[in-house]
Amino acid sequence: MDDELRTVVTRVHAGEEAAFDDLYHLTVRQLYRTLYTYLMTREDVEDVVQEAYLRLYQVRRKLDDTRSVPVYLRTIAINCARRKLRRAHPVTAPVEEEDDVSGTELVKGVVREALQQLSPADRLVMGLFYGDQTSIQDICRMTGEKEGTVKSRLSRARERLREVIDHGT
Amino acid sequence: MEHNDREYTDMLNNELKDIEPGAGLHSKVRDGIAANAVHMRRRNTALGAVAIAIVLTMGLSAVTPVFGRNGTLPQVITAMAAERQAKKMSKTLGTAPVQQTGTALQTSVTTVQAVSDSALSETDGILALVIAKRSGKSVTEVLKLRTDGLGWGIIMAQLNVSGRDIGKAMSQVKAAAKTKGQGENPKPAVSNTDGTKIVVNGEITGVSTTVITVDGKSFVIGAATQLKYQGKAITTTEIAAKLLIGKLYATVQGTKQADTTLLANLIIVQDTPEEAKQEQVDEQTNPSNEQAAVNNDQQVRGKVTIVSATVLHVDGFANDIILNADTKVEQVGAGSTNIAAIKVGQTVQVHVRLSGTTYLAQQVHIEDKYVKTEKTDDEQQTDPSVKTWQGTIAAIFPDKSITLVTEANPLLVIRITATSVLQDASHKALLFATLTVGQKVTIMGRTLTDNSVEVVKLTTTTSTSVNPGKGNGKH
Repeated sequence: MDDELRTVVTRVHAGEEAAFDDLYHLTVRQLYRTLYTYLMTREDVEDVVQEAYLRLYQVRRKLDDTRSVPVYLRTIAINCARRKLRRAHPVTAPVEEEDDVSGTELVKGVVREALQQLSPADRLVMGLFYGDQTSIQDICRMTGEKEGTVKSRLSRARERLREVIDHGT
Repeated sequence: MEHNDREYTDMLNNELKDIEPGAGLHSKVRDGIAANAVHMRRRNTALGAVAIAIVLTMGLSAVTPVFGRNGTLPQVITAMAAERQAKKMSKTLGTAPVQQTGTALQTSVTTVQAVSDSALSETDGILALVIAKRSGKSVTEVLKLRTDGLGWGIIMAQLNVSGRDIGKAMSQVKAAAKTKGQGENPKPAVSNTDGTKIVVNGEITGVSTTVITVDGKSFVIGAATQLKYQGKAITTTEIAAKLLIGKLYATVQGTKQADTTLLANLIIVQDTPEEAKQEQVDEQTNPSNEQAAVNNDQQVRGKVTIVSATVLHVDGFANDIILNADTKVEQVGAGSTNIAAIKVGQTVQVHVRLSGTTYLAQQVHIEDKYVKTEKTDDEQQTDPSVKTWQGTIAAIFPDKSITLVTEANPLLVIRITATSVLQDASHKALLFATLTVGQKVTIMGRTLTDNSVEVVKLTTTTSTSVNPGKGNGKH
């Protein structure tokens, strides 16, 4: 994946138009999930994804460090998402009622409910750390927060999640 | 129930496993990029067009009069700067700035009158006088250009007057105003090159619709005669009414007509007499004096053609200007100095007061910068003829001599001459009249044949002496 990403970024940097589509396909899934943990609605996530890729496209010729591209992309996206949250509304995504209430789906519903009870910033840190396996240092770079703040967010999110799940199960 | 990091990861991944970007999202991203590219292209095209337009306008405006009658862009900028200077000068001068400017620039009465009569603002009036003076053109020509609607920038360009010229003229006006003092009533302009102008002030002893009598001289009131009272127009009827109540005074600027009658150009009516009453000069007895029958105080500016300890001649001013010990002399770069600093060829501005038929120099401002070529105090010390005495003033005499008590000489006679420099301990110029008995002084001077001392420089060291008579004579 890293080698493939490096090659694609090199092509993007060289000005190959189709390479940007490849870059999109390589990075969009992870970005989409990260943003979903933050915003919790598909509509908002799609808006932010569009804006983030547009901004990345505008600076595509300056991309030269392949290792930083995913971090850079998520940083742009997080900033766009923050603006969207400030402009629009606090996240109140409705919990989709599931017809299938098997054991796995029941846990899923509880986890989502627990996530929704977290603040967007705590949720984002949770998603980046556990969902994307992003390092604390990279989370600090993306969010602009200090290491202590990120760690306390993680701790708070874990505790809340555990509490909800323990009571739920 | 214990949870570890792996459990949280699995939990989240399970929660997010169905969260995938929709199939149409890529198209939306692409459409957004394409729309943005079109927008940016249009924006860049518009910005480029604006930039090109600005560059072309600037370039074009520098060489062609795109501002119509205001001329090119540099001319407009020059005009704005000149008008700003004139406005500032107008504020500085306070009352009657046009008249004061005319006086400072030694502009003729008729010229100032022409400007005052025009519909120009005070700022424009000042500029018209300055431009006319600097270009050597008549003010009528300048006014004609202005009334034709031309901007000051284009007028200056046509008459070959630069912004620097305006600045210099403004400095001259400012210097003259400073010399004359703020708040003084503006005097009528003084030049009288054809000998037909007359200015009289005094009590109004009679007035009709056609004639006014001031200080015994009768002036015809014509259609163009301006009558002013406290800066506003006044009629002869109103003057007559005021005369019934009490005394009135006036300053009249007039012109001698071919039939010897005097035509009043400007009559300024006042409730009180002028402080310095106008000296009347009989033009018949002094026909050659081109400054006859003009105001008491005036500014004379020009190059020094002749200078001695008592007389000064300035180019363009036909009369002797008398210098005396009361004449203040100052020079650019030197501050207060003495008559000896005035040299032939220097440009000077002299504040002259007409006393009887004598023009006394009140103040001489040497515009040429002081160059240290003369002997310094130390050098004078090495001049064997110049010696120093310290002592206390014992007596002061009207013939400008004083007696000094020094350690070596109980009664040394000191003579102040026109070239003597009198100063205090901080090197500020002093007048002879300010010297007092008991003051401690240091004298630099030369011993004369009668053993008295001719003062080169007298410096007071204290205002009064507590213990007079303890001077140290040193030769």
